Amino acid sequence: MSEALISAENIYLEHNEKNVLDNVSFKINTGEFVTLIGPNGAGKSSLIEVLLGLLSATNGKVRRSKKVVIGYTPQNFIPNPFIPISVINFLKLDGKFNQHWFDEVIELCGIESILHNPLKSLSGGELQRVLLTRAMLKKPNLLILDEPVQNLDINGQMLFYRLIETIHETQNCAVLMVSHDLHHVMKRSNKVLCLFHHICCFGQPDTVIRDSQFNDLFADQMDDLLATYEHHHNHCHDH
Amino acid sequence: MEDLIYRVILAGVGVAIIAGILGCFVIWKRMSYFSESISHSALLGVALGVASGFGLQSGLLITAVIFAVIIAYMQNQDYFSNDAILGIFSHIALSLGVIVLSLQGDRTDYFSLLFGDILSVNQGDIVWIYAILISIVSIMIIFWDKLLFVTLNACLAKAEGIQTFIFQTLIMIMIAMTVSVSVQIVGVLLITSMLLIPPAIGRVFSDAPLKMMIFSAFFAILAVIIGVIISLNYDIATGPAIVVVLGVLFIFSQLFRQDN
Repeated sequence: MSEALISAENIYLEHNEKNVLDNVSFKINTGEFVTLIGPNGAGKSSLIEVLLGLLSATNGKVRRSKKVVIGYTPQNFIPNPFIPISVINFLKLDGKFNQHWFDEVIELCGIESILHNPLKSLSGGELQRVLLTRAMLKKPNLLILDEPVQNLDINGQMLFYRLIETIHETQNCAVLMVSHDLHHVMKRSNKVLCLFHHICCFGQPDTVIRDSQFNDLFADQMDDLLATYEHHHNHCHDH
Repeated sequence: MEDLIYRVILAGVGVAIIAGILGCFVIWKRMSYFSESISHSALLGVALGVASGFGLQSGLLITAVIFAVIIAYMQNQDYFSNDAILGIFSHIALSLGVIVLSLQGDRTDYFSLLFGDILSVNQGDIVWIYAILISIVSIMIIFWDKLLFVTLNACLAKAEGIQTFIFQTLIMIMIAMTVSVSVQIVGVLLITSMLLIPPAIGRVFSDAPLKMMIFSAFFAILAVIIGVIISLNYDIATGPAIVVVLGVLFIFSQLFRQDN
């Protein structure tokens, strides 16, 4: 059993006397694809910030393997529009990598044609690919993506998911992705982590989808998704 | 007379380069009200510098930096809006300055404090200006990527391990330094335009941050030289002369605007 890349151990986070995170424990192993889901305000972004070390947990511990290199793309990235900066200059800002890797990642993420465009002129999809490129330049073995497809249209979402999938398959890179889109979550994740302050369920998609807590949280979207599954509420879950 | 012109031009060019560089950050980070507030502390700086015997320049620098650090600290607490913090400190500083100046009982030349008096520049001032110029350029060279990244998007910079509070405070301190050396040249009331207009002109001709900075410094130098010549020839205050030249350059620059 290889060492986990990153593990959260009994994380508690309080904010304004509310429990944002309540005893959250899980780990991500090399090469896994974990999707983090949960309703708005469930503490998903806070959990990401705790994992990245941007927020310190009120209690509990995050263990990072010595080998872990994290590439991160934030939610709602808006570059300062007053700075005239091109995509290529943004990618090279405060980064250390050789030209060969740079060219390879540019090709992988398909942004050759926009390298010299002003950063502020990019569309939502282009900007996400540029952020992903920046994250990949670090040669990460763990990519953390906070709602990367939030502002993309359906087509853009499909293309972006496909890109993430390619990266996951070809670069031996674990992925932790925050998502709202249950269809895609189910299809490509090794594991699904369903969060509502506490971990409602964590496991393989077909296990999670039968979980009653999960069903309660995503009731609206479930009718559609569960056409092929049988499921029964075995208890009431009061959130 | 010739010696005076050299001295004035030398001082003016030094201040123009400093203001041209830091002005870019003022525009990028939307800090014009911050520089305005710091410039209001300049009166207090002059008064304290003279009263304490440390001298005008040290008084200006120390007061401006102290105000900048207090403002940075308060803003970081996210309790009051930046707007309120700046408004509060700006007028406290201005009032304190007027009180301390009047307590000293002398006939302060408010006009040259408010609008600049480049003719009063002496050898010591020039050494001081260039010492600050060298410090600022050194900081820029060493920390350029980090300062720019923090300005471009502080959240991502923080996530990538940059200590954003330190670099944001450093930018504020450098702006305070800029304000402190600009008082003699353009005066308390016009410092902000010295910081805003050159980069606004430079922006038109630039597709990269460094380019914008170089153009900004260039136009600041041009305006200072023309402004000083006008000011000496027609015996008008230097600050307004420089700002009017900048204003003319700005209007012309808008004809060249592209979407870059």
